[in-house]
Amino acid sequence: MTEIHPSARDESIYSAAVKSAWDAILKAGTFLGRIQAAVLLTLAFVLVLWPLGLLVRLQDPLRRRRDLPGWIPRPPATPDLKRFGHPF
Amino acid sequence: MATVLGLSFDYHDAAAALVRDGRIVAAVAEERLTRRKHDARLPELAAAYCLKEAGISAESLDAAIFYEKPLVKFERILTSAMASAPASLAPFVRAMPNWMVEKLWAGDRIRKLVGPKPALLYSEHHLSHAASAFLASPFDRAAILTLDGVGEWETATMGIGEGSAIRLEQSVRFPHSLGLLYSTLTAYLGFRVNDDEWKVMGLAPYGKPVYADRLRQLIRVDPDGGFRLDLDYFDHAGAARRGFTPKLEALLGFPPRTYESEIEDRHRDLARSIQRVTEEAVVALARAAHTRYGTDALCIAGGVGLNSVANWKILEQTPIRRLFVQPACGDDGAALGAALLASHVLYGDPRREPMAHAYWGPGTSDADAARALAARGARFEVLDEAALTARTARAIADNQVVGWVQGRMEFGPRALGARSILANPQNPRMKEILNEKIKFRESFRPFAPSVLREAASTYFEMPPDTDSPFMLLVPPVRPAWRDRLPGITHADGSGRVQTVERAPNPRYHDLIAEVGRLSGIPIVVNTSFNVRGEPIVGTPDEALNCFLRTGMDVLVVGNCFLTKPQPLAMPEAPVGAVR
Repeated sequence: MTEIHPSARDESIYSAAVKSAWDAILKAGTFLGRIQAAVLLTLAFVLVLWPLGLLVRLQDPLRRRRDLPGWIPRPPATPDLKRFGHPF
Repeated sequence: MATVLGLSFDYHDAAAALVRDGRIVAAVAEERLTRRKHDARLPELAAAYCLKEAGISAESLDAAIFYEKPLVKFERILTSAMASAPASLAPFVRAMPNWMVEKLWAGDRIRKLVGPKPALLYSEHHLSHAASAFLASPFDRAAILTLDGVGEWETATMGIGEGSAIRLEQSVRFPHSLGLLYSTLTAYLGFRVNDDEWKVMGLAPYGKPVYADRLRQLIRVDPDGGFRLDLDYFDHAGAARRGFTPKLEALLGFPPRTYESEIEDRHRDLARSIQRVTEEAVVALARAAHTRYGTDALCIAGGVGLNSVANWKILEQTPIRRLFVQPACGDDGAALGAALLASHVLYGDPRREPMAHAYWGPGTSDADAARALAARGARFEVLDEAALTARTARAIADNQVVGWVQGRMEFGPRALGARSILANPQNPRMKEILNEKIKFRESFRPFAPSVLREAASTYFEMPPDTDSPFMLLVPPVRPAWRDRLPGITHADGSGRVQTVERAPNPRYHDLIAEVGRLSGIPIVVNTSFNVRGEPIVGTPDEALNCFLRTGMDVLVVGNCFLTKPQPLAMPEAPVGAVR
């Protein structure tokens, strides 16, 4: 049997009271983090993405023009490990 | 010779699959092990199972391959958000935290899972689908179609497979998507996207295609099979959470149905209409693939491949004569496709044998079953092979509903005789009984038949050499048999048939043959062993829990035979893997 992620299965050594307090802190932190993320992402969207979007639209990335064909030729895929070695 | 672990996760239906020396060793969706439907999280349990089944550790892997390229997908999300600004603000803010914290780091998470030694590879979404279909098929040369909602950018591809090589030559890109068209109408009909598309297909035969002309305005299909959506009606990247604009409502002339509200005739008609339009597009694509590549063999994968009615139309209306549809058509199957791609195309392992069955998940031996049931205090009999077949067939012929757990679990969404609920198709009340007492699901949904392969063309209008081992074709039931098979004949006289050969599952084949001897027709109703909203059961424990909670009469696990009443209650906490 292969053991994967042993750290994920660590058992807590803390008492129940400390654990409850920690859980509450985590919950509050998560909540605040969500608000902070939403604010920052909204700012990024309004200040960066939206203006950039005006330029992006000129290139019609969603192929909105009705006269475009459905198919797009696909570049041939070379079967080498290098091409498959990166996430882009 | 290479050992490769394929992984798909972070969208829906996470899965792992292991291929060694060109042979499939194991494949399972994470949901079956965590008991969380459509579980999309990193498939830790599925990966651990695959390694265990292969008897190796992660260090022995040559490679782990992710089913798509996450950064290209991220680029699509950002580009769509920019192109649809400012309407895309809300979905952007909703989606980004998950991308920042998890999805962008898929590679790191895989590294943690498999350690530093195996090579870490990234396939492409539709290439993984294509590989899952062609490299698992029995064909040496075949056209390939992949059709789904969306991968990185692509929503459909067409290409050719020859030997171990796959050449995808053209694609349709987001937001023009046949899968998203169907999903958008699924949402309009008040069903859940990526979950309830089955219901639209099941509802369709009750309606008339009165909206088909209007829906044809939503999609333009070119003579070469390429297609595009009229984006005035869709809002896949914008603020509309259900993916359509008010213009669609104006076109259809009635508001979207709300979830769980009453289904009216107009909803049935709309289901029939979108099914009709989808079939037309799929048939056009198949015809175009035949014209372009001049072969009558076609491989299909991607979520749209689960539209088994459309698959049948391909055989009925095009020159395609040999069709292989990957049984795990969705993103779960893409994990297998990625592993096959790495094994055959990147490492050069020869193709060994086609995927003749779907039994690649965790298994239950007869001894395991007896041990597990005894540990729960269940009262059961251990039967020899002949008695097991005879007693189970008799129960089915006597209109009892049987839970059936044998061998390794199926990979893919269909139960194919390893984790199935079985019943008598000749009982006119059987649909009602199954829907109300066991499956707890909508009354309009049909039940599928398992038939001996050698008898299939007697009962269904399919040529004698047509196989449907994965229940992905819906031929008409022959008119002479429709009245005698009310349990599996849908409103339009069709049945989503599974043809059963003996080699992959001899016990199931023998059971159906015995039902044939007792009742005159070698067919059983076969529906998945679960209740609404839960994944299909895996272990004897889970099967026992489901048996106790529902109106099933008999449970057969391995060679153990149980009937009700049982001196058991449900355990307080669900039994099964939890994390």
